[in-house]
This record gives sequence, structure tokens and C-alpha cells, in this order.
Amino acid sequence: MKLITKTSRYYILFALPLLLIAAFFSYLFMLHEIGESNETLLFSRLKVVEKQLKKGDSSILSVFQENRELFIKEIAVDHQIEAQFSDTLIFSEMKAEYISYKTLQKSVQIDSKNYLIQVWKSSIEIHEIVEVIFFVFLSILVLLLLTVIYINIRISKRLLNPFFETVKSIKKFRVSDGERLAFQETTIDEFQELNKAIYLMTDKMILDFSNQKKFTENASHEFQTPLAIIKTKIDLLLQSNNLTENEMKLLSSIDDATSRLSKINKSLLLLSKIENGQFQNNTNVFLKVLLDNILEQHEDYLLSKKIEIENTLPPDFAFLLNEELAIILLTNLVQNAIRHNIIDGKISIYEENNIFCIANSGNSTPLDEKLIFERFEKKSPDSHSIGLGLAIVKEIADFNTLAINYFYKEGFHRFTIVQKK
Amino acid sequence: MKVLLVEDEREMQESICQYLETEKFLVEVATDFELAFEKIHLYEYDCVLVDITLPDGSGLDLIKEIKKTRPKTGIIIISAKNSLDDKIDGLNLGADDYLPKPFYLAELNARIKALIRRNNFEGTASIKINEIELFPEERKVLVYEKNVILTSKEFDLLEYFIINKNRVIQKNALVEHLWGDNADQFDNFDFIYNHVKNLRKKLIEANCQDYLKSIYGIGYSFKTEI
Repeated sequence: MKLITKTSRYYILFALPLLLIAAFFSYLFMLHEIGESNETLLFSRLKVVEKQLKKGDSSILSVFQENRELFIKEIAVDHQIEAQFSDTLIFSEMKAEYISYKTLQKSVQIDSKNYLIQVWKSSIEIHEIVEVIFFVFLSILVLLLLTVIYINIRISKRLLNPFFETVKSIKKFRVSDGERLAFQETTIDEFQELNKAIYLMTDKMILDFSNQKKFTENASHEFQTPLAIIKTKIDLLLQSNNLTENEMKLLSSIDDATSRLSKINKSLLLLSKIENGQFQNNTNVFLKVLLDNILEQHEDYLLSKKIEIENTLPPDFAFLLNEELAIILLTNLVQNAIRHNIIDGKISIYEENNIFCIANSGNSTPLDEKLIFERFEKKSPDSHSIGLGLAIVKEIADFNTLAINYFYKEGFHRFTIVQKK
Repeated sequence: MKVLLVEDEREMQESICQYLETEKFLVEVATDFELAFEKIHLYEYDCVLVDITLPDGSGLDLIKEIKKTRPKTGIIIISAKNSLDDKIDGLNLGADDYLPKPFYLAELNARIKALIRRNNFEGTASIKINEIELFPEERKVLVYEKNVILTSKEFDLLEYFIINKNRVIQKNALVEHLWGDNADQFDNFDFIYNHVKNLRKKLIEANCQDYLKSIYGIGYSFKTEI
């Protein structure tokens, strides 16, 4: 939910009970005011009637009586009635219902005669007041809502603009570019604070990243040098003429192990380079050409296992990828397909619905698709395999909008790669 | 043949010198940028081996300097970095070859010899050893003046053996030389035996002496002296 929707929701939520309370008090207030004004009116009417009675002029009185708003009666002289209000219900023929009336009655002494004067006036009915108040407050509520919506649109368009701009640049930010973010100038303190914090953070990230990059490169360099020394020393030792066969074998084993160490080191460096996004320059790489090359390089391995190759990949099938990575990706997949293959096996490379697929015969138990892409997850007893090939493939895919999947079907282990749109 | 080795690791220097000197190279050593800079201005070398990372400068700058002062000198980069960028930069600056560390000394020897041959004789020189004459540029082999037809892999093997004659050559070194750096991820190298076996058969059929000795479990040696 948007922040502005949330605040508006709270605003309306608090406004509602406030409006209800206000409506209730307005109702009481109006009721009181109307009552008061009715009483004043009835008093003044009583005064007029009294005056007319004293004058003996009955013409106006008859008008009142005609309207049924006045009642005059002679009563006993000693019967004094003070001015007093009361409410009554009188049947209205017009509306065919009882209507509430306010009545004022008082006895008046005129020329030794005692009169009881009663005047009344229909009071406004409660439901009418409620109706009025309801409509007034409903329109206030609607107006309020409209205002809130209007302000929201304006705020999210204008006020929050620097915020959205900031978010946009953060989304575009890539630490491997090493470029500092550029934010829109803003006068809002909170956003200035946010931008400042993000500047600090990204600057730190860029610095850390370049340090780490340097470190991995230096570490790899530092590793390779002693390994290179070991290898050349073994090489020289092997050349001395007085070694026994056993001693030579020992040296050869040391050499093998050193080669593996060097290869692991190189692969880990490659992985971190991919993770760091140090391979840019993505181009449309045509896989068929690269594959033909790689297969030719591995011809002897294929021949020694008598593996049949079926490559029906169309020549124009391409991935958007860095070419060096594409070569590593395909080489690793091909080597994987050879290593886990059987004698007289088969490798088939094809395209299906824009999906690249490489399938190889092999062990008839499907592999665990969750584990095969893990680092150092070795399925083969082959000591030259370092268990990083598929991890590198996965890493390349993950960092290049490629989706890689594994499944086992019809006796073939299949790896599919598709470029995500 | 004079070779300048620019390398800051003393142990590495010693190994390379020892191997190359038995190959009748005259090897001079520079441990840092400054010394290397001085030497390339003072003397002429057939080949310079340059490490990219030096304590007081970059090997890439050194390559620029060599190309400026002695454009005919062959340059081989030997680097532990093995980054494609460095390789491309180095080759663009005029280096002739790039050999990532760690490497087999036999491989280094082969690369230096190939480079010197290309530079000094425009590649027309043949390599002659007893009854065998090898023409690297034409990829042709004569035994007693008679042509022997070899496959591409067999030819590469023979050339490598002859260049590193009387050495113990490990299987891994052969695999790296013939199939490249990333191809040696397998355990089974049976096909090397087949290639070597076929090469040997063809040479013997051409009445060549049996120079190829296999060292069980380790590799081969091309023995021309007893």
C-alpha cells in the first residue's frame, strides 16, 4: 500500500468520529436554538393578543383563531395561570398525522375579566433536523475526501518526485560501474537526508568493491606464483637422470595435485569475477560456431569414449552474452556431457521453442537438480574434475538473464538454457 | 641465442634459467623494471620474457619500451594473472605470445624457439635432428629426405618432442600443449597413447630410429643421445 494511501486512510478514519461528534452537537445546538426562538415567538404573539384584547379589537384575533393558532377562554377571576410552555400533539388534517406543537398558555386580567390565552406553533420535527444535519455533514465528508484525493495526486506527483527519482537511480545503480549516483536536488529535509545516506552507502560500496576486486586478483596472483614455482621445480627434478621410476611417479603426482590447485584457484577467481559483473560487452553470440569449435577441441575425448554427436542447433541461434563467458559456458557444458557419458554414448545438442538444450547419455539415475549446480558438488570420481564446472555455468546464467534447468528424460540428462525476456 | 628474463620471483628465475641454459640459451635476468629498462637499452636480445606485475612498474610499459627501441625483439608475456584483458593489452602492445603461470618449462622452451624461428628466419628454417628434418611452417617432415605423412596432432607432437629432446615430458604438458589449457579436465588420456603410438609407428616405418621412449605413468622422452 502506498504511504499516501495509508496516511489518507488514517486521516479519514479519524475524521469520521470527529464528524459524528460534531453532527451530534450541532443537532443538540440546533434543537436548543429552534426551541428558544419558538418560545420568543410565542411570547410576542401572546403580547399582541393581550394588547388586542385590551383594545377590544377582535379582528386580528379572529384571523389567529381561523388559523387555529390561538385559543381564548374566559375563566374564573381568581384562577391565575402563570406563563407556561408545554408540548402537545395535534392532529393535522392536512398531513393526516399528529404533529408536535409547542404551546404557551397564560391567564390575562382585562377589565375585571379573566381570560386564558393559549397560543401554539408547530415545532420543526426531529427527523427533519436529523435529515438536514445528515446531508450537511455528508457533503462535508465528500468534500473532504475529494480534497484528500486531490492532495494525494498532487503530493505523489510533485512532492514525492525526488523520492521516486532517487529510487529510480538506486535501481539502476551497479557497483561494478564504479559510477557515483546523481540525485535530483530537493528542498525537503527528509529526502536530503535520504540522499545523503545513500551517497555515503554507495560510495562505501564502490570502494569496498574495488578493494575486493583488487584483493581477489592479487590473491589469485599470489597463489599462482608459488604454484608456478612448485611446478617448475618438479619439472627440473624430473629431468635429473638418476631418479627411480617410483620417485618419478611421486613427482608426477605432486605435479597433478599442483595443477588441480591452480585450476581451482582460477575457477574461483572466475566465479568472483562473474559475481562482480566484471564481464560486460554483451553481444549476440551465435552458439553454433562456438560449439563446433569446442567440439573439435574435444574430438579426442569424444573419440576415446566413442561418443556420437548430434548437433542440430540452427546457425542463427544466439544468446545476448559476453563472448568469453559464452565460450566458458559451452565448454563446461560439453565437458560435463563428456565426463558423465558412457562408452558408445551420445550427446545431442538442439533447439526447441527458443530453448537451447544439451543432452547426454550416462548413468541412468536422474541427478538432484538442486545439488548439481552447487560448488564442489562432485558426482564423478574423476580426480581431474574439480566440481566447479556447473557452478560456473549457473553463475554465468544467473548474471546474464539466462535460465538454466536440468531434467532427466528418456535416458538422457538434459540441460536447458533460455534467455529470459 | 640471447634471452632476457624479467621476473621478480627469484625461485622462478632460477628454474627458468636452469632449463633454458641446458637448451643452449644465454639467459640474462632482470629482477625489476628499472634493471630491465636498462638492459633492453644496452643489449640486443632475441627474446624477452616479461612478467606483467613487477615491484616497481608494469611489464606492459616495458613492452612499449622494447617495441620502441628494438622492434625486432620477440616478446613473451609470462603472467600469473591470466586475465584476458592483460593478454589482449599485451598482444596489442606488440607482445608475440602470452603464457599464463603456472606453465611447463618444456612449453616455455617450445614457445621461445618457435618465436625466434619466426623472427630470425621468417619461419623458413627447418629443424634437423639426425635423419629427421622438420619444416614447422609447411608442416612437413622428412626422414632420410623422404616425406612422412603425419596427422596434425602427430606433427605437433613430433615438433614438441624434438624441441624438448632428451627431456622427460609429462603427459599433462603434452595435453596442455596440444589441447589447450581448459581441455585437461579429464582423467583419461588414452588418446595421447594412441597419437604417440601412431607417430612412432609411422617414423619406424620410414626407417627412423626409435627415439621415443615412454616412461610409464609419467610421459615420454625423445632420446637422441644415450
